[in-house]
Amino acid sequence: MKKCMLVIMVIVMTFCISLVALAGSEKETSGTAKEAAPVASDEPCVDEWVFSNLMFMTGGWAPYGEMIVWGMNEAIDEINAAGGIRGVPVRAEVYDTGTHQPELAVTQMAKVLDTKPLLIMGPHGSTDAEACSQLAYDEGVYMLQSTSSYDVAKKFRPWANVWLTNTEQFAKTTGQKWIEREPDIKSVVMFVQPEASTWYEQSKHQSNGLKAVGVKVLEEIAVTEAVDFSPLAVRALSHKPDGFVMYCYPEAMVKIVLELQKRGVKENRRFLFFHGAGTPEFWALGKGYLDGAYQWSIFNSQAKSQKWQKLADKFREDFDGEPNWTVPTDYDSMYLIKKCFEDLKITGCRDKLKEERVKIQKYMNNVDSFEFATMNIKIVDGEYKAPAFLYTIKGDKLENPINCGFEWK
Amino acid sequence: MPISLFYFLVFTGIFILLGWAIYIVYRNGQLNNVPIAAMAVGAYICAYLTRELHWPFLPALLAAMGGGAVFSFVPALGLGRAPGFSMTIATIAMIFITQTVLRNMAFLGGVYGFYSIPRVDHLLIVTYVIVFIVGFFIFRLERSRIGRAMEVVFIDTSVARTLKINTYWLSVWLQVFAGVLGAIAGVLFANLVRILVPRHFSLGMLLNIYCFMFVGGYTTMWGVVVFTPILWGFPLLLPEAVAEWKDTIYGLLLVVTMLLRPEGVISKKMLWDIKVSVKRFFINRRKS
Repeated sequence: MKKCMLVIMVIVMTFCISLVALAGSEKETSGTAKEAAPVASDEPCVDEWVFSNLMFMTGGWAPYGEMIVWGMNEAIDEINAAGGIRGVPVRAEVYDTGTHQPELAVTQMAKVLDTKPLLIMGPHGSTDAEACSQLAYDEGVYMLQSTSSYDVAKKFRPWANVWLTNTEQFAKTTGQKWIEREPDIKSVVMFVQPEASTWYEQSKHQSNGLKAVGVKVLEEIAVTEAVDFSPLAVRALSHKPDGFVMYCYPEAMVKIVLELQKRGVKENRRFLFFHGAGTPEFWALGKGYLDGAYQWSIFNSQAKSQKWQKLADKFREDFDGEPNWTVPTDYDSMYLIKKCFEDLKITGCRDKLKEERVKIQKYMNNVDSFEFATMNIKIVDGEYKAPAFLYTIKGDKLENPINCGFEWK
Repeated sequence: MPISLFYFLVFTGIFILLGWAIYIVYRNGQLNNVPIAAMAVGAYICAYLTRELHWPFLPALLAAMGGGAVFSFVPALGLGRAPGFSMTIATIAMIFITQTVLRNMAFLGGVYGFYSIPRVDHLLIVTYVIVFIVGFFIFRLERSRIGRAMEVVFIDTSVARTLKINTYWLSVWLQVFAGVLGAIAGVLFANLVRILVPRHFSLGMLLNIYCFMFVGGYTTMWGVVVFTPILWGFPLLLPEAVAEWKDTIYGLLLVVTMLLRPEGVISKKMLWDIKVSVKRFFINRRKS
């Protein structure tokens, strides 16, 4: 009994001491002054730029998070090898927001804000972004959400941006391009996993786009995590559709395709996958079964830039698979931050924190032209402008990209 | 106060309320998960009333409590006599049903969520005043006739019936009370996060609360109070590389607790022993 009490007392005391320590330590990271020797007015005040990245590193979305962080670390290595940002080395701290854990996302965001950041990378998942973006918005800290959701980021403008173009436009256009290529498809069934608003919003817009060109959407079947997807396949086939559109986890997409193939769907051109496909898991499970199917994506896997070729080769080496849309997202974010800090001569001095945060926000919301790893992009009044692509799967790779792009004029 | 400490403390208060909501029905021998669904209901009611109809916080809180009570009363009528396992399954289903209904209510934002909920001043103080009032109520409840009745039902329902305890209405009453607590937690959550998405109120949150309650101890209300801040707080203090293993650590803790100390770390007997030791200590001091 006494031992037990002692253990509890030790636990409680340790916790209280840690809490007090937490309360008293406002860890200063990106761009906060360390009261160093006086420097010229536009010289950096920091010994190291530390960028906080709120990322889903656990739960269902963790595989995506791992690849995004991998891309970011590659950019950091390259930037540091080339002398850092304004001569100061760069480092990133990744804060796990989990998958669909709003309480964790909010707490992690609060932790990041205590570090007095100049800007924040993430939050990345749409559910996390929905939960915790308000905090950064209230504090006036810019968020490079890169993968969250166009519609979520839009709600937090001018303090948030995402590397997704107007969902309504690209989801419509990519679906319509598919129909243009396969004009005999007159009706479809959509498989939608109500996992996150970003998937839902994309599927809704695509559904509207298909309807606009005379395609009947016979049913939107809700997909939940399951071992056996045959009931969903049977249900879809009962409508006798000409095509199938998928907005669900990569594993679910492949398993549904296999169930449909078992039941007589022989032509893969009848399948359209959304850009969440194309993960290593997707290719591994679907190896040899997906040739001829379509996938739309926001990234150009066929880009010829040296930057991309190098990054893609490194990815193949490390992951033994083809890179997908997640890989260049925070790689590009890091280079954009570099350009922003260099153009604005950001110092990271504490007395200029508010002023520099506003400068960064204004800069990031209007980028005239910037070379991302895979394509040239533009940001106009906080809206990211870049094309989306429709691919055909051939030899377990994305081939023949069709540019479903937008006019910038 | 650092922002992270503020959020940590308010979330701790919310989790303590949720922990008590599940604890209070469990003391009656039933594992009821409705508080998570009631939390969603309370959160959305408060958010809608404050944002759309511009109600002040207090009436919105009361309306949400009413909503939580009605919401939990209906299933409670059917589940009052349900054995523990049936209630667990049925009330997990309630979480999914509530999520699905909310997803399809366009005026509440549907899948996209309900944004820009007005801020409440002094949320930390409000939270802990509520926690204190609820805690005091439960403390008194456990020492009342109802508390003793719950104790008997937990040990043996047949014995309770021979003592003329109306186990059905006791269960219904406790489920409604748990629903109200869930709704209060939801109101605080809505005002803290200021954005609601149906996905927020899921099994993930429930499993965290289970861990806080079963590791802390389910035979007394103090288990939740002591272990919620510890278990919720330690991943925030650990380096990120270790904190990523939070769920695994929670799982392991739960398994180890179940194996070594099934009643949880803080038990009624332990509290009794502490009370006796403290008394003895003071008596000895007085004598010496």
